[in-house]
Amino acid sequence: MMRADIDPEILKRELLEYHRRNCFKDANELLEFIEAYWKLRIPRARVCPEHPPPAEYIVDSFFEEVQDSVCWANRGGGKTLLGALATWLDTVFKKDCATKILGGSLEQSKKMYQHLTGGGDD
Amino acid sequence: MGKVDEANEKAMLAMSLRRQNMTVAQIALYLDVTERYAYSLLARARKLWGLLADSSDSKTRIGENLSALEEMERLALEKFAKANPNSNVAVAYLNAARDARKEIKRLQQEAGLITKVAEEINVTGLPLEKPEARAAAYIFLKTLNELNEKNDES
Repeated sequence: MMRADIDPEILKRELLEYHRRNCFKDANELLEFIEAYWKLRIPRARVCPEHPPPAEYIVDSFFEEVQDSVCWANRGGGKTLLGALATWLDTVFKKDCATKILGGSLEQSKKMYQHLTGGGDD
Repeated sequence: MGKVDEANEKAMLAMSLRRQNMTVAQIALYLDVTERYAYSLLARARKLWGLLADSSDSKTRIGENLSALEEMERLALEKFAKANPNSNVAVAYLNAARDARKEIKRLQQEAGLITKVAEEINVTGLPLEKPEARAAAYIFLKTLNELNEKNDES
């Protein structure tokens, strides 16, 4: 029997290559890509007026709306994961980008490295 | 069904099993006959194929081959339906049906009755420069992720 097979890994790779060539047209496209590629739904809604949502950190960091940023959130709130994601995005989509992990502890640095290499916790 | 037809069917099935590298002892067990009779069935099948090959009319020959294979497939599927689905016998019947189907397809392709088609197509080279194509790709991947999540939960 003939089978038309769309391999999601091939599709993901093609999307990644497309965005490496053409970058992302806006924040929405970047977040769509992250959700499809990494299965990460980053909260976009601002719940408290004085608290920016996590998506804002990723978007502003990637599009270099800010040069330096401080992430202040609860323990287990995904700071290291988002940091790893921002680093991965820079490494993959920006030319001449090098990465150096400076963690608050060796454990945290290892955790970030694991997130970066796709081996972090869910 | 007449005795001759039954013997011919058994002979064709024996030949199909032989082509799957089953031993004569296994074929005998499968068909519930003696090993000696299994040998005679194989000899009969060879004669039948020989008769088909000797036919001067190639179209008739192809037609006959197809009929024989289709009958083999039908018979194997019929037996499969009656067999215990968890048994090795059921698997063997299913394999026999699958092999017959493959042969039918090959014969049809060689005779030009059907266009040769790929077994599997990998979709690549999508026009991702078009926003609609990218949106569709994202929807596809996200739906797949959601389905996988649901499967993991259940």
